[in-house]
Amino acid sequence: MDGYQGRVAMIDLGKRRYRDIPLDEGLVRKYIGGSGLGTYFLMKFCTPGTKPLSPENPLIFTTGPFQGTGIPTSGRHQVVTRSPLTGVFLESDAGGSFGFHLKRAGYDGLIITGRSERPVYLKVLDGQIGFEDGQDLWGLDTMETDAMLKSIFGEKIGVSCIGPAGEKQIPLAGIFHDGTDARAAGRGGAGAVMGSKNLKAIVAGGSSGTEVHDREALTALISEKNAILKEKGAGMTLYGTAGGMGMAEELGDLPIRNWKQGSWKEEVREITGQRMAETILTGNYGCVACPVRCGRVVNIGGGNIGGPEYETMAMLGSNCLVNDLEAIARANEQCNRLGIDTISTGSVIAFAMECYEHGILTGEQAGMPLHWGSGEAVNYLVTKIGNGEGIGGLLGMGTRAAAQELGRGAERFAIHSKGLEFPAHDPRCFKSLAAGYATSVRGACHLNGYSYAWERSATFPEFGYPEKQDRTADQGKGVMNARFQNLSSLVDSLKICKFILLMGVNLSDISRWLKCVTGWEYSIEELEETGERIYNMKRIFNAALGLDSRHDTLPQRILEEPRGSGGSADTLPDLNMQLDEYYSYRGWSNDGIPLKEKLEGLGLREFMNWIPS
Amino acid sequence: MSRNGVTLKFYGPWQRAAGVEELFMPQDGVTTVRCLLKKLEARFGEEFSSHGEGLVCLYDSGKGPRALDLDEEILPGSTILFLGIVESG
Ligand code: SF4
Repeated sequence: MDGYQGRVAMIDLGKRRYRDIPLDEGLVRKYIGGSGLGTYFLMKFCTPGTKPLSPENPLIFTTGPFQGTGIPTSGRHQVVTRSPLTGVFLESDAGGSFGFHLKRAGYDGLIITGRSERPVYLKVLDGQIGFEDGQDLWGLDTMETDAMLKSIFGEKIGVSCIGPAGEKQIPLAGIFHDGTDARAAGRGGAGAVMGSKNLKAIVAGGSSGTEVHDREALTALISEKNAILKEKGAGMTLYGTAGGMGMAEELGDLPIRNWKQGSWKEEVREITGQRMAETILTGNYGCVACPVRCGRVVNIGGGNIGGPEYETMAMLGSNCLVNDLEAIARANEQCNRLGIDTISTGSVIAFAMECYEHGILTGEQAGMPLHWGSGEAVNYLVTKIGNGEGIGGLLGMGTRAAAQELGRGAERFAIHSKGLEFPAHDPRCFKSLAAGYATSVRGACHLNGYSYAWERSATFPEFGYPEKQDRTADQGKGVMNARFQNLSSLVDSLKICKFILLMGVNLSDISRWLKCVTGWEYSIEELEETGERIYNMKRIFNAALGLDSRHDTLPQRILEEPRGSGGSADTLPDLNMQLDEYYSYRGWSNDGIPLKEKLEGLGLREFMNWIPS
Repeated sequence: MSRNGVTLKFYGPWQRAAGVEELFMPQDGVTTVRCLLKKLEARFGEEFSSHGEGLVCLYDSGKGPRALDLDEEILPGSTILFLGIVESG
């Protein structure tokens, strides 16, 4: 089957054995790979009663059909499981090189269940899977783990691993790749799931290429598109995603002081990608097959290391009122070493600072004063959270749980949806993010639908959006969200980077690429329907856990408190209006549950028994 | 027959202000971003320079992009990108 290795491995860590599951064409045509295939296997090997940190919870790694073909940005992979942070569906999209090496090892994916008695790491090399003693790796940070495994297996492998936070099953722990060039499946606690299985790392590599249906045509399409992406992505090549900090502040998008402050004009200049380029930047790097290379390399006194991207700069920086670039870069490095998500970590630190300001959390409890703007406090808390020590034990549970534990009104400072902390874009600035965050299947996520990019600058004529959308309007945003969520699910299943949709890659390009790789004809409508099928499947998973429209909500601060100054000073989203439009367009009940006819139409009959009666 | 000059490519807000994606600017000797902006203001209006985040870069298909200072010399035959917004992810 062109584009695929034709199998995934089902691995039981407890019994230390594995078997191959062949992939048939019907299945992959329906779910493609990445997010779609991962969700399908999650629903096959998990029940609504499976607890996130139980041995039965599958931890799934999937690649896509474009992996290994050279298609721009196709070197990505997906991690799918049930989240210990939110308790609901979790998927996380990671860049870097691990997905590439996993496919070279001869697998389209891994489904990992069970719990090893002792720390273990997996060898997935040239079609063979081995269980190796991981005791010597246990306790090492992610960069040390990567380096040690590469010293054993050489540089031509990919490593996926957890740091000390994952070992301790801290709900903010992610899964990390590529050592100092850290690329993470960061959000939602997949690292804690890996730690609960006593699985420290996976080493993957081999020499199995990806068979392509029409190599000559594909090569021509790739070189044509790479030339365009290099030009259109030049801003990101030069400044990384943090190059957008200034514009985010100007528009009133940037989180400042735990989402309470509207503007920060002078201060933000110290922590932009442009400022980074003038000071600590020493180079850049990219995920496999990416001509843009948005990753930053910085030197902060201890050699070259991955630098902060936009989300990190905003959450550990402006959201905590820290405008010390080196302090943020150090905190970023610590998060990556310890193996915790920079977005949720920045959010929970800002939450702690606001609790401290209001006397809900004392300096004695925290171990030091938590003043706004203190880079020292941010770095101190990162270390505590990543090691699960002192106050870090509480904060590492995430803002929702920490607020419940602290009480005394702390809940109004916890900025999350479904337990997942907000990423660094504001629904009061880009209205579509209101329904977007509220309905996102893993909790607040900007990439679940990625709709705001089309309210900021981009247009997508082929998808029915020939003009930039009005960011202040609520009307139309329910429909827009549903459609862009479907699109994101498709892109996450093909495993390409969403950034390229802003740089001239259209659905017709994707359709042509898919034909060249697999030989399959997909119309643009069929591609969108595939994304819709996959999105509905994720929603069914959550519905079976008891989630419905009551859980599609946002924090009071975002719904009722205007930013007060800056580019979005006095606007608030009308979430209810957006949701009515959204459910109706989706063909879901008013309670937000997919209707049987909708599921039948999408070919999801086999999962109907997941829907609560 | 190729003409002497620089190729300008506009993105995002710059493109909306210029109304075109690409423009060839005849130029015999060296020029600078400052000079180019003056010419563009004369053509598209005085507001032109306020578009985007001020990011103008020299583009070489082999070496990739390099940001330009306002007074850095630009040789004939160069491609200059006017990038409006850096994607913030
Ligand atoms: S644009 Fe950045 S995140 Fe996306 S594939 Fe390229 S290097 Fe990776």
